[in-house]
Amino acid sequence: MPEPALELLKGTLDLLILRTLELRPMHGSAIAERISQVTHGAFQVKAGSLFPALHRLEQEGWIEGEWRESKEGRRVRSYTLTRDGRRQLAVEKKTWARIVQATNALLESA
Amino acid sequence: MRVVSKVRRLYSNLFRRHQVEDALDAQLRAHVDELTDRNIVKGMCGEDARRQALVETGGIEQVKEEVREAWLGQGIESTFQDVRYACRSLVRSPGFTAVVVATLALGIGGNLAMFSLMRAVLWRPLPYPEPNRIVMIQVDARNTPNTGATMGEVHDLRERSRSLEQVSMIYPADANLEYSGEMERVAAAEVSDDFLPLLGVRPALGRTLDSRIDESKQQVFAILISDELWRRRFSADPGIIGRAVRINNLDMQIAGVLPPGFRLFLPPSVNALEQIDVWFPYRIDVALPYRGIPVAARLRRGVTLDQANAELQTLVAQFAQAYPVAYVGGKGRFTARLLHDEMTREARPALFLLSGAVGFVLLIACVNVANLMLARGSARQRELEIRRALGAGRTRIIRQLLTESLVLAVASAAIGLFCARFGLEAIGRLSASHIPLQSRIGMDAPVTLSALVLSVVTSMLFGLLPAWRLASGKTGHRLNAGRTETAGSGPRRLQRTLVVAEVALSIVPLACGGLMLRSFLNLMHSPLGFNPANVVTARVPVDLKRYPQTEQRWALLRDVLDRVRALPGVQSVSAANPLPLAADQQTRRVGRADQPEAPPILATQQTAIPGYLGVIGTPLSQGRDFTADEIAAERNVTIIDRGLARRLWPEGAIGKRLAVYRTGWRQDLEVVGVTVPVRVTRVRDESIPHFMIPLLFYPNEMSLVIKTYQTAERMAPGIKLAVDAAHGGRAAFDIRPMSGYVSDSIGDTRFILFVLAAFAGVSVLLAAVGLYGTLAYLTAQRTREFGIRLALGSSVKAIVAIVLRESLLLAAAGTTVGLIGVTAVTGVIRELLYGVRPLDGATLVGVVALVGTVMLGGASVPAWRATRIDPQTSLRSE
Repeated sequence: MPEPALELLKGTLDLLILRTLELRPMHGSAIAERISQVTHGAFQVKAGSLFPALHRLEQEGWIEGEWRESKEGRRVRSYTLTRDGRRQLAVEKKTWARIVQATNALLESA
Repeated sequence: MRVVSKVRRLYSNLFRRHQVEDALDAQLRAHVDELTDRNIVKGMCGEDARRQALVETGGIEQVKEEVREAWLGQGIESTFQDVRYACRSLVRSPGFTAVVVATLALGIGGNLAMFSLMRAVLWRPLPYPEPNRIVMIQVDARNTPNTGATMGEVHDLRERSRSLEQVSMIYPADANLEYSGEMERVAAAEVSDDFLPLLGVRPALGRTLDSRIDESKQQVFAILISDELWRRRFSADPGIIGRAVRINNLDMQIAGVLPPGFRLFLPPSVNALEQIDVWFPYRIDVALPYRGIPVAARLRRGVTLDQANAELQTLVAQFAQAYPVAYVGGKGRFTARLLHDEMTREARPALFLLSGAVGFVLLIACVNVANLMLARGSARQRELEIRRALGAGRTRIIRQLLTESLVLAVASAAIGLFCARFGLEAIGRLSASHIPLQSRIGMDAPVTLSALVLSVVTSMLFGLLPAWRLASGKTGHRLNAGRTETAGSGPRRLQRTLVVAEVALSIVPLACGGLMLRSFLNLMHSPLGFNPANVVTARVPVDLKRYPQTEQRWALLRDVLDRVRALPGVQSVSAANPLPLAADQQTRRVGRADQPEAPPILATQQTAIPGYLGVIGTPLSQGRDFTADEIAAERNVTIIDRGLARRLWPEGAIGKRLAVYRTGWRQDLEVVGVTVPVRVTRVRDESIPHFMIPLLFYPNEMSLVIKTYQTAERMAPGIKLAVDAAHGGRAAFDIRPMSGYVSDSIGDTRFILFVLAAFAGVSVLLAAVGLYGTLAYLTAQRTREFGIRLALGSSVKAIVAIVLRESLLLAAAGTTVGLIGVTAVTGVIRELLYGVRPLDGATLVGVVALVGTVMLGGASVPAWRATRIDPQTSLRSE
């Protein structure tokens, strides 16, 4: 029996999406699938969180969407990381690293 | 770069909503399709695969809603939604909307009108350069306030004052303009050279006046004219400079034309019109000893009013030494006051009273509307409950309700703007000349802006309380409460409190209105000392240069009188000057000739000929009228009124000698008659004594008084012709009924009364509507309760008693609170009252009775409805 999916921490979804798009442009469900694969099913991103997040990131100007043909021949909205998005990703990675470090420090303290 | 793209997105979110929505729809559909495909690959059948995909997605509409939250401009969008929703729900209850909008429009409109008035009169700076440096100098000499300056003083002020510059004189005058065979009387003013520059006006055409060249030995050579006169009489001829015209039978040259729209704004005491058509030069002649000249000046840059006044005090001491004659019997006093303050000083209390009253009206309107909103809100409780159940947060619902208030308020403000316009027009017609700066009153951008602000403020005032109460769980009844329940006590208590507040608020303007009404009635019935009924008056200037001798003027006057007497409908005719209650009264210091050391008394002086007392209806209580011989022979005789007689000769005045003090000399007059007390300055002023002298002593003008049953309009052409036929060289003007002077004199009280009465009427009406609405609502809510009572054997009478008792309690509580407010407020308007105390018992009783009656009227309909309750239907109605 696989481990149950993890609850997404507030704010981490943006980081996950930006990081996923760093590799190559992708559309919504591909992003969700990729996150699920890479994290071995730990993070299951539901449409109810994924699409609002995508739209928010696009409104912020960190990713840019365009209509493309998918492998299955479906018209999908594919997202690309923008320059601002890359900068934002770097910021969020750093923030995440500090969170992990701080949390670990607390957990490992005697 | 980023900003640009954000703006572009905001734009498409707001204005290309369809495209954005379509794209979102397509995106989500593609997502679901993909999931379906994936499920099919996993081995599900088509139907199941699609259902599973939808479940995984979690409902397309919900996802859409959450995505929308992320869009830019979502706040704006949802506000639009709120507004749309508000409009729809308001349109659905047109009765409620109409009442609310009408109520608020009255309140807002009244306030806008008052705001425009206050702004034009009190707040807007005068249209002159640096108006805060322009001052009027009040001169008090010989223990008499406002005597005006002498030319010598004006000259010395110019020479010596270091704090004032451009010290100048202005004196209102008449101009009988003769040009191309047509004679016309226009308003004129004599001004010293600095006066127009002081107001920052330069001729648009021609040159300024220079009294050294343009006037000498009382002979005027050159004048300025207004742009309006230039256009009207001279066809805007650009070559007018140097043109010869005849004015007051003298040849003069037009030296310049003032720019269009120039208006003269001076305190009412100067008695100058705003629109002056002819400007005469006025040379400062130190040799002329007369007082009475209004003086204006400009504070030097950096000098404060206090500094200027301090300097004036030291200067006046020097003047008293230089002109001992002018300051006999007491030190003079010079006081500089800002022109604008001086102009509005008299109108100020009335304006504050009226704006206070109109503020009350708006408050009542707000309370009223809040009450209506509450009542309506209770009826909407189910709707709101459903919205809450569907997840609308408390703030969201408050926002929705406040948006509704705002929509109502904005609509009302728009209508209120129209109300204000009509209100201002009515005020303009009502007040004639009792508001200074009247020509500047109007609607403009700041007024419109204030309408907007007012609507926001009022919507907060009347919307916040109901919104908060409705959105909070307090009124909250469960969704399953489909039954009509007897309402909880919470909202009922609040509504009752609001009704009490309304009644209390309406009592205050009503009491003020009642006091003003009594003042007005007192003024109407106060003994004037003459009878203005059926008397038509006309003013006829006399040309002193053509008629230098008393005999000549007496002959002219008799000729005019004979011709007027011959007109059809004339019963009798006589003459005097000035007319009682006319603006240009003369005051003199008088005393007993045998007691020159006693402090003089201030009295008004009027000139008259034999028969005047009979025409104007002033009864002689002792002695006799003047005789024709006394006029022709310039005998030193006088007729005094009883007020003066009692103060000087309580033992009997006939045959005694009255001393009249003039600058530098004294004239003794023999008292030949005593009349009843006459009020000549204002109807309000009963304390100033009065005396009369034969007319031809100071005859630059005479006023005809004509006893006739005809109206002034019908008499006017005949009077004009009769005066022209006597060839006096001047035209008759101001042909109007004597009663016009009386009603002008109490016009300010009447104006306040009318406006206040309108406000008070509206507020009582609103309070009654509020009481009615609340009772009707409460009664409707208690239908079931009453039904049960009736079913259990209660009589219809008892039900009516319940409703009436409730309304009576509310009205009584409101009245009590209101009366407490009245005691606090009416003291402030003391100086506007006449012959009535601020806490006048009869007025207060009347107000309470009126409010009680109106409230009873408001309560009777709901009470009547309560009697119609059929216990069976009401119990079955669920």
